[in-house]
Amino acid sequence: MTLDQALAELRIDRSTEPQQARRAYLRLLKEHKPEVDPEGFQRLRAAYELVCNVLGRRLVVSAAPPNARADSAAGKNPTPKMAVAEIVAVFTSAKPVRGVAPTESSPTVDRDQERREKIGALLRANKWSEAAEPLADYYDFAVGHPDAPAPDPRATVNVLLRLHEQGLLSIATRLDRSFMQWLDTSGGELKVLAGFAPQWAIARELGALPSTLSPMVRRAMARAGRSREYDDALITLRELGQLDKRGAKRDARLLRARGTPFATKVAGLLAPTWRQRMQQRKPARRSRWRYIWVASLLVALGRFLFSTATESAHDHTRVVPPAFGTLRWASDAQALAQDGENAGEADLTLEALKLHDLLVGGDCDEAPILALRVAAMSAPPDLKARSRALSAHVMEACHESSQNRP
Amino acid sequence: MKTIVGIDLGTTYSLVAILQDGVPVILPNALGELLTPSAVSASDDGTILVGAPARARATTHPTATAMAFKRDMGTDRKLHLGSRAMTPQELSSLVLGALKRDAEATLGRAVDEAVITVPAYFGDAQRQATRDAAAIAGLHVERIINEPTAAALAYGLHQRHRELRAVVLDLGGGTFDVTVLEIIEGVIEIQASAGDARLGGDDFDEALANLVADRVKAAHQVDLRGDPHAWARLRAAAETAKKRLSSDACATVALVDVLRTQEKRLLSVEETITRTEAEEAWAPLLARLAGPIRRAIRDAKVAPQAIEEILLVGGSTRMPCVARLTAQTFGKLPLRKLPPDEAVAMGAAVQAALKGGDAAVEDLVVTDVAPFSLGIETSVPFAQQRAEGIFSPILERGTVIPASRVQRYSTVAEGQRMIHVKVYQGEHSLCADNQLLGDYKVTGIPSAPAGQESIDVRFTYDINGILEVETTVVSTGKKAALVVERTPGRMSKEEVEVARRIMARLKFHPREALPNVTALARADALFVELSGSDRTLLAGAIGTFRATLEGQREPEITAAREKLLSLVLSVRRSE
Repeated sequence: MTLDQALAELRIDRSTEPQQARRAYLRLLKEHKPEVDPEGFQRLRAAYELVCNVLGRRLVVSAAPPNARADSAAGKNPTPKMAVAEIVAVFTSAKPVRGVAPTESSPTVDRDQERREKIGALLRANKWSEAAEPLADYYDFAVGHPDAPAPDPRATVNVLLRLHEQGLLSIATRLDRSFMQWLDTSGGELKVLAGFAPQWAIARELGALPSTLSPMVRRAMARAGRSREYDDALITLRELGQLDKRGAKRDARLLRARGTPFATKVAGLLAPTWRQRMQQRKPARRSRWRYIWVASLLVALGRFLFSTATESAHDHTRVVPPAFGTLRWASDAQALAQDGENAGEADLTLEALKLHDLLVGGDCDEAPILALRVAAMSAPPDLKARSRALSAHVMEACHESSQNRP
Repeated sequence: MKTIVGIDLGTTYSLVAILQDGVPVILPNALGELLTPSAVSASDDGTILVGAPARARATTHPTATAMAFKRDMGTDRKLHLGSRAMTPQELSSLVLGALKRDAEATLGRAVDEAVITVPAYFGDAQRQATRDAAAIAGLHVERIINEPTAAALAYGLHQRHRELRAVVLDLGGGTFDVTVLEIIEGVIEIQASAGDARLGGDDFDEALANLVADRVKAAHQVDLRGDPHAWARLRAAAETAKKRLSSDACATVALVDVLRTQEKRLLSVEETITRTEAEEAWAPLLARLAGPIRRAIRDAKVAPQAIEEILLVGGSTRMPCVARLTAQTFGKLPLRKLPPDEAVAMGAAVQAALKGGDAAVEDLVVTDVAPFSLGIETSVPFAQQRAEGIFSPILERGTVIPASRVQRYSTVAEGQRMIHVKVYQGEHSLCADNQLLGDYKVTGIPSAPAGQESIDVRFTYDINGILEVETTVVSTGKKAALVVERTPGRMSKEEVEVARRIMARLKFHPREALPNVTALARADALFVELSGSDRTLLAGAIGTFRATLEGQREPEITAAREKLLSLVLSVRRSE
């Protein structure tokens, strides 16, 4: 359904205010009762939701801060510090939670602002363990105040993984509990952590594992979640299994008891079961020489990766950005959405805004796909050229930041 | 015009109602009472008792009586009724059957169709089980609606010319539901609903019973929880005490000769509980009320200050501590504009009238939302690996129903010919933490590199809250639909027919005899609790009544029954 069709369905035009759209919907509801005419009702509802989405977005687009473009232009030479600033910026911006506008004059909100800034400063200084306690307190507070600005949950997942990496279990448990409670009341994990599911899944695994798990294994698992060093971490785990066979067996038992896919996988790496070993051995029967050749290659590769992995493990001050290269194109996506809206291309506007959100979130897996989709959409020639160029830039940026993964 | 009734099939009580001249009216049962207890009991000769007599037998024959079976709907658990094992559907069908007969007797015409309410948090399996129960009882279900929506309807019926935003809190015997609604231009728009499927008045009774049992254990070293008879009597006494605490500052739980101690001495219990002590014991339960309230308000995207009216329904909201908690949360005094026990049934009657095309509600429109998210299991690419078991929601909670949503998914492996579609319901990011509704395999996908082939998954959630899933292989256009195979407790058409025949063969006490059976059961239940002269007096009255029943002369029986009941009442009152 296009915007024009939706407007026609509601019998209103482009100049309509959001409140009038609601009146039109309520009036037409009597003609398409959900009881009597389910199809008509679904069409009406879809039209109403589309119009609300566009009208609501229009407010957001025009209210975007004018310096957003300047900020991203300054990010041409991204440094790791810049990435922390991103997380902190998302965290400290007084973004209202879904539709509920905070009353700016009230003193409580000002005090919250102070608290958020304090936490932001700690995060900026890489003081994860010190930031955790106030962060947990803040979530406890936010549970009771639905209109308080929400901290960025992704930053919190990062902090959680950091804490597990450093073996600070009691603080991690405390933060985990407060965070879960907040998630539960703020609309569930799904809405809040969309696009961040794997990291969150690993953080939860770590929270559920007993404290008797060896700290080395815990650190490797946390690294698998926090940064994009997934493969390195897995190789580290395999090496750990060979260094201390007895310990690895004990840890594998703990992990298998957990029973989830990720835990089982880690357990398999630490101490493969008899069946898994047999499967690994199979090629040996076919060609002994090839096996030896492949194995020595693997060991060399593993050693190399392990040495780089341990290097970065000692370097706690380094921060891995979510994908900073992508941020500079976010404002372009937003501008495209604005112009698309002016040109009456509702679909393009919506998709471009989604792309903007993905780029701000640094989602290098989804953003290129959406960028391609935006480029493929029908639009006037000038917009088409711009969306194609944007698509190419996004592809490049995403590729670059996946190359830059340490 | 066909007659459609509205039925509130509750955890502790059930009601049947109908809209007459634009006003919802509750239809009384054979005893002239509006509330029929959701209880089924088997007497010693195998005859089945439903309602008040069954509930009265719960203390005297705990193992032959089933109550609160609504909590087991949609599972394959069987409940034992003496020597007979029955499914929750069969037990519910007996209650529905009793309500149907009551409605027919009052209205003087056949009743074959009904609107039945279920808790908003009932999933697909539980809704289907409720339909099955109705089918066994010989009722066609015109519509299943959510209990909070029904309560909102009963409330909105008289407010429909106003414009306001309200919250309906429904704390019943077994479930807790919160609904945020807006009434505007004659439309009742449900904006969000949340709840706790296992939090209700029964839990408050149990907390109180545990408090007493702990005290008895400390004083006498015996555990009342170990003996089913003693525990059933304690639960019943705790419920009475809870009700008394709603008006008084303290209540006494007195049980005579409830259990033998280790020295074979008969033990009697008398414990006084103050309201403060009770509220301390209830603190964890009261804390659980806050979560769903916050969640519903967040989902509806309103500030607590923007709520204009708070309405309490459900018998358990009579407790002062519940009202206090609500007032603290919203900063506003809650209202009790409807009889708390009857609101849901009244709403069901309004819905039945809407369905039947009653002119009195012609201008009323209701829209409802999906109370939980529905989606499928997926693998998410993550670095060069895949994270398995990630929940991908297709229809998010809060979506206005009926609704249909479609999403495209692609293959993850090269040459993948089959996709396993596993349908889940819940709010967690991992499937393992959500509830599996059903699964099936989409085959016949052409062999291609990973990610090249895709399927469209369409979820259609109808107005009854029942889900249909359809998949289409994009490249071939091949369609498949979900046929839920054997989720626990689900019955096929044939099984429903078999259960229907079994239920029809059961022996029931005739409806006319119900007052007598109930009076006897109530007297028996009181007899167990009494001691001394009262007990002798009651034993005499019961004996006389039994003898009169043998004589089968109606006026004498009625007189003896009245006498017995007035004795029971006077003893209870003097307690």
